[in-house]
Amino acid sequence: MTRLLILGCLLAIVLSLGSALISLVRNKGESSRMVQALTLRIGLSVLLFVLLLVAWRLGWIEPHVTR
Amino acid sequence: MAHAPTTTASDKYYVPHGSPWPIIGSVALFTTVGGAAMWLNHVNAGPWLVTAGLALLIFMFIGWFGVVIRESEGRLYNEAVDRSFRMGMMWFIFSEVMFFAGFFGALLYARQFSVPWLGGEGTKLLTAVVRGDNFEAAWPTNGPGQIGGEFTTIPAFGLPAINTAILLASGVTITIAHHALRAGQRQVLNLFLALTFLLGFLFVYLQATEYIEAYTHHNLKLSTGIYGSTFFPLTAFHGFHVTMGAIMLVVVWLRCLKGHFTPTHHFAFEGVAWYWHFVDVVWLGLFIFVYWL
Repeated sequence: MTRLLILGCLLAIVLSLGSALISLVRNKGESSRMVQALTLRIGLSVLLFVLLLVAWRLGWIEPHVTR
Repeated sequence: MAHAPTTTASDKYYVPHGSPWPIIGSVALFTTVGGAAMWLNHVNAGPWLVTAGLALLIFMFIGWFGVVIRESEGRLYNEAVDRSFRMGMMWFIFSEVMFFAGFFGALLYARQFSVPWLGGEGTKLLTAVVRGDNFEAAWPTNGPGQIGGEFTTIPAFGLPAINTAILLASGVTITIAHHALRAGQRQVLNLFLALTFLLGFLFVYLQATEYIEAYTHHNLKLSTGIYGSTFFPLTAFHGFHVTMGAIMLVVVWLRCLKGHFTPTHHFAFEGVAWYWHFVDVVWLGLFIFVYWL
């Protein structure tokens, strides 16, 4: 479940980044869509990082270790 | 590296004449790659030619960027040129996505398929029986035979987590700078853009520290089997992209200090800002797939 949440969050980040790229190519600087998409992108990324910290703290997820 | 005011006719494409930079760039690339080939074949002139080629390449970048910036500020570009810059950016990013897709693909293929197969998973039971060395498929691994010897991984909640926080912070500062540029707040723009590239260089410094730690304390090297040979290329190429992005941010920052860009015409800023967000997202992918999942 935690993994799905992490991957879903990552997918949303990639989609918002892609949306910003489309705005960059189409809107020629006049529209604020690009900066809005990038703001969403960084917001989601910070959220994902916090999610990782919380999931690790609560023991839901463990980082790789050599076996 | 230019914005596109629309003072020239929109149906005419500005073509510079008599530019020496393309041929200088070609000579620089030929010298660099030729020198590298000689270097690999132990020809003494190899390292010197690579150095000369790279120096010429840097000279070409400075010269050519300068020309484009002056042309842009001289209002020589129209909508057609602006469109070509944006299309160029899109194809450049496409090539970057495919570049990293190759490395992430190699990592995922090794983890999900080839390592489990070597352990006898699925229809590859006979592989394990024939090998007969009781190789237990697990990740991280340097494979059967422990190529490179015993190693340990870098803990995710050491430098990698600090570096993630630094890069995310730089993502926040570039976004604040972007909003400031659009709102015409030049001082905020200059300050947060400077913070962004400083955080970027700090990231690269800490990444280098992590590599020294990996080599000296973890016996984790490029030659450490499949883990080492996927870990180092992925993180090193990412670090190289951060370095390039930070240098581009410095160029854009210097232009901002000189008063270039307007709230509606700032393609160079947009291109570099998007690129910075891109390397940030690549790092998030690395942080999750290399250190966590």
